[in-house]
Amino acid sequence: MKSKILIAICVVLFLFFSCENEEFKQGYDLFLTYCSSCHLERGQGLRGLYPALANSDYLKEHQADIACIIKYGMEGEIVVNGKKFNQKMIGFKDLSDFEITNIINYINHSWGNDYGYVKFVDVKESLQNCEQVRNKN
Amino acid sequence: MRLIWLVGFILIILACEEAPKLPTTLPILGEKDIVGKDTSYHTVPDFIFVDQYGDSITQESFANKAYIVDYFFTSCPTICPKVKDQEIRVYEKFKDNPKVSFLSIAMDTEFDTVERLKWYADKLEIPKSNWHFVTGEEDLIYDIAEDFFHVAQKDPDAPGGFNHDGRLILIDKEKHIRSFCNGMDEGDVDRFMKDIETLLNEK
Repeated sequence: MKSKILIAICVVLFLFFSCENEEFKQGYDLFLTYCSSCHLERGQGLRGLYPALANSDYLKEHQADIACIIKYGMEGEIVVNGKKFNQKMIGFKDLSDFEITNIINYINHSWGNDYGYVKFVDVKESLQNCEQVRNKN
Repeated sequence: MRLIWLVGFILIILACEEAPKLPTTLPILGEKDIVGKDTSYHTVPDFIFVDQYGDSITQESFANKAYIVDYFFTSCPTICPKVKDQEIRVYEKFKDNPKVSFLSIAMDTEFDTVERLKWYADKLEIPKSNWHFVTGEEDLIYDIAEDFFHVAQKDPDAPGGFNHDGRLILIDKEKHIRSFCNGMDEGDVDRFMKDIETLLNEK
């Protein structure tokens, strides 16, 4: 009897953890394809050339702009965690609103980041107003 | 029961024999010509480049040194950052070694000027040291790419094509290619660093 309970607990724990990993599956796959070349696999960035996404004050404070940045890229100097960066980022216009939502949710919850969930409807709406974000930057 | 002990004992002895031995020398890679008793190995020809400080870089700059070569361009949005991230690991390990240098050749001769290369090296936080980020005549850059990557092309296990595939290549002081690795594969770069040490310890 005891061993059955133990097995049951193991199965539940296993399912729980495997589900947790699956939560941002598409976001993770897309991140590897589109983002990790420059921001690197653990979001650590590359010295003064590419800014970090992990523990990034810029990412945390510019949540409303992130969708537009992923879709249309960005240019010009920005300051991330006190460091100046000025390398052009290309945009990924082929990504759907849904895919962009998944990428943001993955990076918002990875490597110690806890920047909250974004909703598909909000991302969709902000992507309709990218001109304003680009003018602001 | 005794048989089990015997089998176990034999297995242990066999396992000991199977232990990989670390090589004490590296092979010389690339095509070789054998004329009579003489064997001539593939040799990287002379070149002249300009580095991020505007200094000329030739084979003479690497006299009595081993050096590590890679091809890149500063605006590369694909594999270069990953390769540079790994190359920085190699650099951090060997930056104070007077027997080792680094040569990063920029393929984008129009955009990657000396000033741009200086900016790039600064952004990577590489001080004036044994790491040269260079540009030069376009023809030379592409011709010599074939010499550097020659070996990789001849390697049956390597995926085809040599144009800008993120390899790091190790050249010895005799201008022979001695090792290379996939600059995006952390494990392969670890093995490459061991190869560098093996080369430095060769007599």
